[in-house]
Amino acid sequence: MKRLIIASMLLFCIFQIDANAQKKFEQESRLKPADVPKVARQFIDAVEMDSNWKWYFEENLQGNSVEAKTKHQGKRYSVEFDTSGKIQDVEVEKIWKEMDEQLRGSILFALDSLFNSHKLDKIQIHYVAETNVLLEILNKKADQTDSKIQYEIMVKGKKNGRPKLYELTFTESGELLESLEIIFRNTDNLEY
Amino acid sequence: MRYFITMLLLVFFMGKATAQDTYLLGTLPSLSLNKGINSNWSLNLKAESRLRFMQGEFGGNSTSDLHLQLADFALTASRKTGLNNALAGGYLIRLRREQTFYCFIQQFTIVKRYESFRMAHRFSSDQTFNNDNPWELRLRYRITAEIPLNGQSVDPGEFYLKLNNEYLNGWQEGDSDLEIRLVPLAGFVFNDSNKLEFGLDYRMFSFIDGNSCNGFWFNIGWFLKV
Repeated sequence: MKRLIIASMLLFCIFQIDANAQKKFEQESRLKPADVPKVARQFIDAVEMDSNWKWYFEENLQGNSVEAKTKHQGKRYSVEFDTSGKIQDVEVEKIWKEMDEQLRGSILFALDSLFNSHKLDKIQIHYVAETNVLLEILNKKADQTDSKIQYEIMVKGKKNGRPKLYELTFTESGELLESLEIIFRNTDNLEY
Repeated sequence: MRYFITMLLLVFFMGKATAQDTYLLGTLPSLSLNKGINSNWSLNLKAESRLRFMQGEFGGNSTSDLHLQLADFALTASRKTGLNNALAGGYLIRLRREQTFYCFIQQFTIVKRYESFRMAHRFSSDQTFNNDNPWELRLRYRITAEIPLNGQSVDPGEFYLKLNNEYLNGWQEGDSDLEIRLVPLAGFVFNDSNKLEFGLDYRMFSFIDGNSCNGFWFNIGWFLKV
């Protein structure tokens, strides 16, 4: 009975979030390192990765930000700063099989409830913590439990009709926080 | 890699140009109007003309003339069939010299999105009819890469690079001919519903059995979503 109540509550939360699913808008442009806030550059300089970082200025509905991106040992890393250079979060690409089994179960439960069929496209783990902790996470000197964690999952999901692409955000324990439908840019010039 | 091979092939074929190989110079202006009917269906109206400025033989004689070779008007209905693909069917009217040609078009497109560019594959076929000529069947494949020149996606107010490579094989009354097109374009996005593209449209045909014919067109295309 208790399980039924918990499952019902989870389903209620999932459908509430789904009913409020928003559309995602994002626009980014390349930044020259010279135009990046000094504090942000200093943070990236302290990251012990032998890779080339690229800088972007990102505009979205929540506001503007500066992002540093790189690919290291097959995984994509992204560090987000506000426009003054204060660090916001770190995102690291994750492989489904690397994730905890219980967490995968919770995420799959949510996906099965939202979609008739689904396919995972990309998984990212979000770390939010103090600057020094985030630096240590990037340098693999700190445990991820020292930070607040969220999972951002891109899913090709089919409800009714043709499939669409969604960005879903989950808590550390696999509870669905947000669902955004990705709006693709116009493809007329590629089709005709 | 595919583009590198194509470029090599084109350099090879162009390097083989003899005095008998011919060329055409001109422009290809086009206007594409797209109207979404609902989340699945859309209509596209495309008008394109081919204006020739010059023709001649490589290393030989050439003549300059201003000649409207043809004007095309096509109406296509497209239905999204998946996350990245669409099926379309259309009808084209071609005005060429004093003649009118009618053409049925079928196409299937796949647009794949990668981290920092988009890639499209277009498979299409068309059948052209005219009162005075036997009908013609063409099978076409086009690969297109759209590469942003600023950032990881093409956003409003930004330029991009578009590379087209198309292979067309036509059959008419037992004869067949292959045409290869290589189209490097620069594009500018005013907003997501308004784009302008311009660049070279190189076309080579009749090169298998005889002397090749090479078209060098200045391509300028305006894409509007209404």
